[in-house]
Amino acid sequence: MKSVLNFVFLFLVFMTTLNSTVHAATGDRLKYLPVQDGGRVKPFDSFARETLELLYGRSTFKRPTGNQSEPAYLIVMSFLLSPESWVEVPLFEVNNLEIKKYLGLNAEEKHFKGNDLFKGEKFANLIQQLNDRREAKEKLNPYFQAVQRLENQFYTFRELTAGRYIKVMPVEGSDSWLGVSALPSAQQSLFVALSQNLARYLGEMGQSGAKSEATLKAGKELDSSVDQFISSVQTVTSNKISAEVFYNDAHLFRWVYIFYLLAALILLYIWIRNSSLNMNIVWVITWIGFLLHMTGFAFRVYLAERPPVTNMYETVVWVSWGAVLFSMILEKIYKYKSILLAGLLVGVFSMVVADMAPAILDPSIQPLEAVLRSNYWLIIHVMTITISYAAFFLAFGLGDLGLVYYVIDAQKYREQIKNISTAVYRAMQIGVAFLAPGIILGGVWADYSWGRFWGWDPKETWALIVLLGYIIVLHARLVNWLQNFGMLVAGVITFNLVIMAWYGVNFVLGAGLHSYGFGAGGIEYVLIFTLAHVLFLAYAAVVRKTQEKTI
Amino acid sequence: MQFKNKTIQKFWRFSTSFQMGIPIIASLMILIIWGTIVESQYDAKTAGKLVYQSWMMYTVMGLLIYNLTIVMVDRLPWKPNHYPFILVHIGIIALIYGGWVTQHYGLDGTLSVPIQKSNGMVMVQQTDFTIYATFNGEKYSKIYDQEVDFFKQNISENKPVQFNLDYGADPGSTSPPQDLKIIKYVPYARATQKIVKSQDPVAGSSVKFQLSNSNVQQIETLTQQNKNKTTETTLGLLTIYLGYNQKKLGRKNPHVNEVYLNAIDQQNLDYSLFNKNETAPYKKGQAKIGSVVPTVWMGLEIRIMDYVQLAKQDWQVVELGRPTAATTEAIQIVFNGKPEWLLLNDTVKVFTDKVAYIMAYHNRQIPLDFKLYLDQFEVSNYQGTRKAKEYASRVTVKSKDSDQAVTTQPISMNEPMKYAGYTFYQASFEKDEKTGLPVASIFSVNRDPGRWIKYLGSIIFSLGIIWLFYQRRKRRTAI
Repeated sequence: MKSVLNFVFLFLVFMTTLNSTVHAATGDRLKYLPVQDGGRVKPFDSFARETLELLYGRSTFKRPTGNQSEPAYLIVMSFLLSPESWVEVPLFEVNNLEIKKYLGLNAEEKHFKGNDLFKGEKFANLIQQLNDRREAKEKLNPYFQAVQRLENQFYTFRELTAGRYIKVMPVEGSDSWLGVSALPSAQQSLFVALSQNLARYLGEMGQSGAKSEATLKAGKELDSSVDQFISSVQTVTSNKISAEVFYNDAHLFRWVYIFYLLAALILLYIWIRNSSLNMNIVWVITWIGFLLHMTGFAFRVYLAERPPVTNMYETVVWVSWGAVLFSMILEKIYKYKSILLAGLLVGVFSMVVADMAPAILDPSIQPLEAVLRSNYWLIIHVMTITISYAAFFLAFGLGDLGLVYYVIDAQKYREQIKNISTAVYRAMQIGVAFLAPGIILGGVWADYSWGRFWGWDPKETWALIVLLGYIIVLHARLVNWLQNFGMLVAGVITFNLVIMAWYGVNFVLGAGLHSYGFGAGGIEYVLIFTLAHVLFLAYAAVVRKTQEKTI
Repeated sequence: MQFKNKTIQKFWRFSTSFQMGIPIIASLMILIIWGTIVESQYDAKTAGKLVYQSWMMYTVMGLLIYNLTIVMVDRLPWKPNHYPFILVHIGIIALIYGGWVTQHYGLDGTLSVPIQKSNGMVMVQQTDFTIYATFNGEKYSKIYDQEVDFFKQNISENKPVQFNLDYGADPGSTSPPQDLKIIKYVPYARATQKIVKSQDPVAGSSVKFQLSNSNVQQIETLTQQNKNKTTETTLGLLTIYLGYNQKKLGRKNPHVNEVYLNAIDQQNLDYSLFNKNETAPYKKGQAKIGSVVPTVWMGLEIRIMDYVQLAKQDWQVVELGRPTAATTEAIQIVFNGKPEWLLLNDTVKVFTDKVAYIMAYHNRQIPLDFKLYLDQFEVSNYQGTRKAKEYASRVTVKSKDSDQAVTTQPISMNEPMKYAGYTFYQASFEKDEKTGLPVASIFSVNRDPGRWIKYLGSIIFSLGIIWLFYQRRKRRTAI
């Protein structure tokens, strides 16, 4: 009871500090400007982050000369102030080597000037090639996907600087807002005032530093001109806008993995050193991370008005939550310590991955495809299937952990190894208990909304393949084909099927009806991850053989 | 179970053991993994034909059912701790059986209904090859209609599909039958159209023209389906008709600017130009290939680039290794030594001195006992975008002959309509290529006698799985 109170207290303290640190600083009212983009109304802050992500590959900008990171909302708005100077700045991210080579760019650089990219015939040729592909309705390979991004960068920047892309004013009788360039004169002049204030603010910041008196004054003026503009274009204000800015700034999911990591490290210390430190502290920190995880989720649900399991990023966050949850439950029952450790490590790993790769795992909130607009079924079917992946992920983490013991000393840690392989078995059982009904519920939904129960669609087929894989393992364990070592190996190997069903179908195969979740990129990292594990397994097997011989 | 005969006993043991079960599950896994790869490299149809509906799949499924059953029988008499595992096995068998019933006795097709029109023919996956014949070009009779699956049939010039057509031949006539062969099947064909001269006396005309002034330059082709059918196109502020007898019938739409083109002979066309709301043409005359007709509309000129009096559309086919969204199936037929391409869901017309034949390679159309009339179709987009948020149809079920309305109901995403044992799902919609506005609603139509078996199987299976999970095992390895 005491520990529960403890952590509730700690959690509240944390949330308050977080709130005060991210809350409104001078000069940031611009973040709260409502804009219409991607089928919804969002704060300018989100719009700017997503735009900069597309152009620059990150949500903050670093000038080649300076070392300070500048926030997206200032950078993107300043494109409007001086478009001609921004094409002379290395702003546009190009990663594809083939494109760099074709355009005659330095292959070692990452960011390029607009003038070097878009002027000249070669860019036009690339776009022509892309259009030919589209005309023939052929699938785009990674090269053309990269060309597509380049095209996107070009048009986005052009439309942005022309004032058409930032839509700020609702129009009665139309569902499309007015862009900055199409504003009526009254609002236009207010927007001009806003831009002038922004220019002054940026100028002061550059000259006398962010904290100086003059900068603060300019910031205040900027804020009031933003407020004036907002009240001139619309009367309704939405709590969602400020909630979203808070969500963006607070970066809750980063705190989540920091807490999980902290908990994992303390747990490791207690475990290895056989320390007398109380396990309660681990539990409290884990719970704080876990609740933050849920808070972040709650924000996404509130902002998007739907369960957050509709793209790769969201499922990674959801699955890592599930893995931690299952590990907490199993840990409570078995008290092996290893289970919670594995769960926390899986949680840290996947949350870090989700945070690190926004180009592949897109964290922005996008509108739903029409067929998915049935929250009830979305929750039931997608969430049950993906939560089973969480259990398998946990089994994988446990398998890894157990194999580490094998590598260190199988004899000495016999007890732990036996415990871990039991936990692997349990985690797999949980996974199967969710996956099998989840697949069937998917069938029920498909039957209800497409008119067929099962259609050998790659996504559903791969879910079945995962199920068959784990069923083989469970049966093999049942008849004693798999001992402890075999179980650990199976936990690691079989998870590759999950990776394929979860990531591979959408990012590698890219076929079928579940096309709303398709994406691109990251395949080299996934392959490295898989290969590294294969090598590790081989190493563990060799070590095991030699250990057996010496006994 | 025990058998006295040693061989049978041995075989029984093998059947009930994991030595059989695990390889079966593993081969099922490998097979369907291959299926998903085929689908990603080709398409769903190819994967279905090569993998999911192949003999290999049926064999593995058969073995699986055999194994699942025999393992249950072996445990007889059952004890309570067997129940969950038996439920799971029965559930799986029911699911597989239900799927088989659906595939063999169910109907799964699409129905496309244009706005304010009705349709009662469901298009299904199976393909048919049909031949019609006529003497006079008006009344056709069906002389051949057969299900075909060219995908699996290895057709080549040396192994063609052969037909002997002798429609209308006198009994006892000694003249040889007309020779029709299908010599090639192209699963992934990129087809482009070209206009060629036809021998068909009722064939329509085709005109290719350019409309241009200092700002605009547009090339269009108008081709009539036959002599009596009008074809038209609207380009900005004027509408152009080919094959509409305005002298006899009057103007088609007096409220717009109109141009009427009509064939005269092999070289010459007749044209008349009308301003909107005027009864007399302000200009008329004859034109041929190369002629330029100036108009009063923003300095636009009409230049006749090509003209064929008796024209037909011919296909040029490029065989691709893989499908794209733009490919279709095509077969090449040879009639009396002359080759022609026939695309899926298209027709080809061939002639002898006396008889005309129409061949069609098409998805089978299954008639319903009623028809659907599309009252209304609505698409709503996400704000400020062209991304569809929801689309919904409002349909009226009408009796087939009398057009009498039976019921009116909405059909939308995730909200199907059930009627007379069929279920209608909102699948997608067709857009007009130029305006982007919806013109027809597409429904999936489905009658599934295996549905209840699958649902029953699902329930049994899920219960079993959850029960299994709670069941504590007594064996050493599994706690």
